[in-house]
Amino acid sequence: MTGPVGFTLRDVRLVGTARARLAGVSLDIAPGERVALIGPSGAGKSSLLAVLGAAERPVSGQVLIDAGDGPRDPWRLPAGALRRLRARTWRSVQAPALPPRQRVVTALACGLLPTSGSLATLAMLVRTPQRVAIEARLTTLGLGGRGEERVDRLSGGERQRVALGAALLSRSGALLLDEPLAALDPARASGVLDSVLDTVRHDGRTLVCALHQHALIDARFDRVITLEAGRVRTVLTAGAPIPIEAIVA
Amino acid sequence: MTPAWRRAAPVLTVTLLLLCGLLQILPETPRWPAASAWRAAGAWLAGLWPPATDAAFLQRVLGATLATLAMATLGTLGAHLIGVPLALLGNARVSVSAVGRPMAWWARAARVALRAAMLLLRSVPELVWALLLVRLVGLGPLAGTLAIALGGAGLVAKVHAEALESVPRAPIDAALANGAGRWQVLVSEAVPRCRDELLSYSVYRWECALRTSAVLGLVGAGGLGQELDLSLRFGANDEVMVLLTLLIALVWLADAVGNGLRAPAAAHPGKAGAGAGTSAGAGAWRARVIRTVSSVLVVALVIGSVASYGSFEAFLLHDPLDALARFAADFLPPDVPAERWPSLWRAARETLAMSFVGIVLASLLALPLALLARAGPRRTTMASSTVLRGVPELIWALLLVIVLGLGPLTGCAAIAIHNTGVLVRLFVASLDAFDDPAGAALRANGASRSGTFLFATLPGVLPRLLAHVLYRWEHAIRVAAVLGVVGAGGLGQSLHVSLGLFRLQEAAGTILAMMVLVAGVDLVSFAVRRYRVD
Repeated sequence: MTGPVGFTLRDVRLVGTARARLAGVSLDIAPGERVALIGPSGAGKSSLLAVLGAAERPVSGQVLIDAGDGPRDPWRLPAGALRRLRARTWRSVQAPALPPRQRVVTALACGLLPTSGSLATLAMLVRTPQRVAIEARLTTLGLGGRGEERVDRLSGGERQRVALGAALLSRSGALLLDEPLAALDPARASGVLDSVLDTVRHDGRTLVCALHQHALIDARFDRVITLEAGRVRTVLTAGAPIPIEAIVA
Repeated sequence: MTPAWRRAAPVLTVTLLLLCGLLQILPETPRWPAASAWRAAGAWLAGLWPPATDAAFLQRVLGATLATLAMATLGTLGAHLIGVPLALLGNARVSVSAVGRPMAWWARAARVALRAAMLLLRSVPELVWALLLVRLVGLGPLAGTLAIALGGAGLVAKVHAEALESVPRAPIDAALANGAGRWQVLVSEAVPRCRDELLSYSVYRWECALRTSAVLGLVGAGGLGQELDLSLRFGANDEVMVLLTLLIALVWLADAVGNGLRAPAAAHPGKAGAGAGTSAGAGAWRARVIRTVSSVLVVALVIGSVASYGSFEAFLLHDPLDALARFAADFLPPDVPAERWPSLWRAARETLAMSFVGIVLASLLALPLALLARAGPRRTTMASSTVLRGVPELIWALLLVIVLGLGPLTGCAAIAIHNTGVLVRLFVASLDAFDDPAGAALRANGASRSGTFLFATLPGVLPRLLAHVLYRWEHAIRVAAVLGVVGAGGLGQSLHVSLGLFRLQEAAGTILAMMVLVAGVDLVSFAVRRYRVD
């Protein structure tokens, strides 16, 4: 089962320890759409991505995820079906959590885990699958030939690109990326974003990408959604200039 | 070496060493247990029931239990009094002279000297300390207490030093570079960061001391062990039953008290996840109650233990310095006659093989059991692991000798069984305490349980599991060195024979061999840990 994933949120609320993290978000993201998510820190970008990836359950409101077999509420599914649904979206967290001592190629291959059976998983212990695809991916991310290095010996920006590589390698229908360019220098950030956008367009995947680099958002994104204090503030068509007040609260 | 070979090398090395160890052990056991051995074991087991209940015996047992508790508690206290200062002094991470430049040569030399002192202290097994101290201060719990204090001090020092050095470097370097002093940094940065770990280790040390104090009696150092030795000798299995049950109960008690003391760490927010909001208050309150009760219990134990002593004055009255001088003259210099060198060499190889094979087997058994405990029947699994580790290796060896006969196979099996119990508990604690962001991320992306474990949790937690295994190996080599006292092969048997024949200088030579072996294993373990953790 492949193909892009669509999302529908209705009045979704998520409560944190001190304040509301999402205070009533309603949103439709069509399958195959490329959405940029912007807003000041603490506006709820990561929380929104967590809800879209069915990683966190909202306290109220409705989440519907359409993974090709009609919109379904992930929180009403049995455990096995929820897991398969989660495998259809890949969410990368802000600070990539990679086990120390893991090799770069293994870290990338972990993108295949959600869609691998038990035997394939065990086989991964002995032999990294899809070596050719992984090497190609590493090259496009500027990490060519560094597959055997340990992830804890890489710089912050390199680790971030490794995590992104796992996301792109995954056989998911939607990528939910949380500031994938945060630790990259401007020149590198632009190249990496190109590679992400090329890949999702080529594979026909949905992309929701939280960003702080507004200068990089261009017409390759379909929409730009700005968040503020847990609410959607504006929804803009990409290519249009982003008003400064949409970013600075 | 290609990368693939480099990754396979550790597994191949361990397999090879395991084979060598088995080749060392198995030929020493000429036949697999015959039917008569099983029958004898059956008869022995049948004698365990019904347990002894006569009043005189129970009264004696009560006294022995108190003596065991006292030995363990005071011994652990003594080990900390000696060990913690050593660890604080020998700590490199808070070295002021090392900020922004290589450490000064004198500081480096002082550290090496302290490390050597720690290594020397801990390379003599507790039972050997006890064997020697019994000759010095006489039979009874004082010898046991001192043995536990001296044997434990080196371990306490080492673990504290390593925990303090594993604290993240950045905040400490920042504080030092900003002009903070050594003790300020220790108190404000280093200790809080590993407080739970150290507290948990101290409790664990006490648990170990409890087990040790139970076996020290086998060489005459008082407590439950002495009673057990007597009952085993007289074949009074109904009494053995009571004593073994008590021993397991004591270890269980130590575990429960330890969990209470560790509760604040477990009650930390973040692990519980969704739905913990309402129960968090009640949990914290419960943790506080448990902690208070446990603390009171520990203080009461210390006071009670001090009160139950009498032999100390007796020792002091009899001119201790003179006794020490005579003692030293008997044993020094160490001297092993040339014709006994080959047998000493064989015993050393046997000892090493017993410890290594025993620990590898224990690790292989403990990992699946720990996963089982976390996946489902936690209570049952943990309870059975308590029984396994509640009986010390020496007692397991005493029991296994009936089936497996005299020789290193018995010692190896005893080490494997006991350490499986210990490792299950350590593995479960590590897995519980392991904050696993990589695993959480993979799970949220729909990876399976096994996939997440193999590619995120296991690689993350493996250094800690490996550290536990290596620590247990360091412990096991000490045990393997003395298991021969009950006929389970290795250096202990040589020592037992020489002491029995009053060849004291030869005994000193055997002890020297033990120290070399133990220190060697410690160094290998240290090297492996350092290589793997960095």
